[in-house]
Amino acid sequence: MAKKSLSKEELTEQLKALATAEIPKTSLHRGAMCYSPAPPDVIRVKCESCGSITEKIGWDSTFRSLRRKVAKIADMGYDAKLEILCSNCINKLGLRNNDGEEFGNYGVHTVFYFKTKEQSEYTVSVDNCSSCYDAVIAFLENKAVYADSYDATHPVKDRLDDIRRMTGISVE
Amino acid sequence: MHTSGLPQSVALELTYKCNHRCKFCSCPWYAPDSTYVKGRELSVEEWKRVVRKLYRLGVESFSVSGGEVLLKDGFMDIIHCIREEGNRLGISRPIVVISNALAMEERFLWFFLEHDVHLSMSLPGYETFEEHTGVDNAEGVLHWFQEARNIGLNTTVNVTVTNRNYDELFQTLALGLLNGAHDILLNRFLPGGRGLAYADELRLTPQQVNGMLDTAEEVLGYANRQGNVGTEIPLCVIKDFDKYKRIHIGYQCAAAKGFFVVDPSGQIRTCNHSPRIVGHVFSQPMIEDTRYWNLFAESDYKPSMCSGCKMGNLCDCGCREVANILHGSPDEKDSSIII
Repeated sequence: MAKKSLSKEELTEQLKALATAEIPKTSLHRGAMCYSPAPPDVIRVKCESCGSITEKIGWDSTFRSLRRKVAKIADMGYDAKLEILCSNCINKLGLRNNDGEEFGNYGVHTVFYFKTKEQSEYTVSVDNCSSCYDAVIAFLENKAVYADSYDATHPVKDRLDDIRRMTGISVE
Repeated sequence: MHTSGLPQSVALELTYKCNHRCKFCSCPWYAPDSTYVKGRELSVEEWKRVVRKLYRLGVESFSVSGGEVLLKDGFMDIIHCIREEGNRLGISRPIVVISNALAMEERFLWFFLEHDVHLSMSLPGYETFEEHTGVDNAEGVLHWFQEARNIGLNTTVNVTVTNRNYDELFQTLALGLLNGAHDILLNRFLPGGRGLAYADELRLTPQQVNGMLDTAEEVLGYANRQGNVGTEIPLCVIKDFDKYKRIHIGYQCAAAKGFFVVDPSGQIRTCNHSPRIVGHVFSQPMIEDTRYWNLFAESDYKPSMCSGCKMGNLCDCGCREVANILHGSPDEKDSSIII
């Protein structure tokens, strides 16, 4: 066992010897996670249109979660898909942010495409909001309430504007 | 109403009990004159319900700590549940166990290996170990690093850097790696919990924070390894952040975004440093103090002294919970680094 009685020079020589041993794979980490959990990985997200790469801190599990929700909508028989696009590609599609402006030149965004059998064209929206998808799913399942990811329940009728924006379906 | 999802990582504090008396401990129930309400500790079966519920709500990554996790009767059953439920859902992230190793046994190491646990053991100095922890067990911790290496179990040497162990940091990190740790986790001392009573003694200067990073980079360079800094550092404190290739530094707070905490009785906090209870895991909704939670979930906090800083989108100006603990609000300054 290496002991403290070794000098800095002796420890340095031992560390150099350690460097020649097999190195365990370590993920690239960013961000602070304090004392307890391991720091999050850095993930590289590729724009599905132009292929440009954006680095994001890996605590953002939004994409995986949203893909699962969109898959659930598709399983219900709707034509639904999700694309991850960079700001440039989103702006080229003519999509705008909540303020009606072009997306700033950073980051990636989730684009939701939705079509019923009766609709001829996709309704296209840009939405990273997990609870919006929860509301859409509950609406399509004809439920009156939906649960968000904190296990809180909310009336679907409070999200009709988001549901219309994402699906093109209006409810009077 | 929350619009962001629950953080994908959670730290489960399985017990309030601990067999160390660390001066730097930030557990809020150990703070001087603490008003933290300690509830009844959850049973093993209740923890299993917690695990299943959190998986259902989208959590994917679990770490377990305390107090001292090894003192929780049935902790292995809880870890087994995390792994079993994860396997059922197709989620196979390592489970991180944080321990001071005083109660470690060989059978625990084999159990960790079998359950793909990554073991993080605390080594707050070698000569100053007992001064920091109240227990003379530096050799014991190094022994368990060796034993873990012998059976192929991945480990991290977890060093809380203080003004009192700063001078032996090279030796501390070197000993951890040489005795078997795969990588290092540095945490600069942050006042909180019992540490509030020792803040003046333990606090680091900006020069020491830079020196800490330099030392870690040097040790990791010799050993050809990687390391991480767990506690966020204000960007403006670091003289030259581009030179660090092996020690990875965080400038942004992960509380309520990257992870959150469930305390031994099921109470929820934004992070392990925080004394503020924002809900309970069995409540519906889980988060009751949404105003405080959202300050962290939406990073809606920046000290006024940092307004105008061009790095604002990359840096959270230090630890926001320290700002809250020391100055009453998460948007006050983090004065844990002596300026």
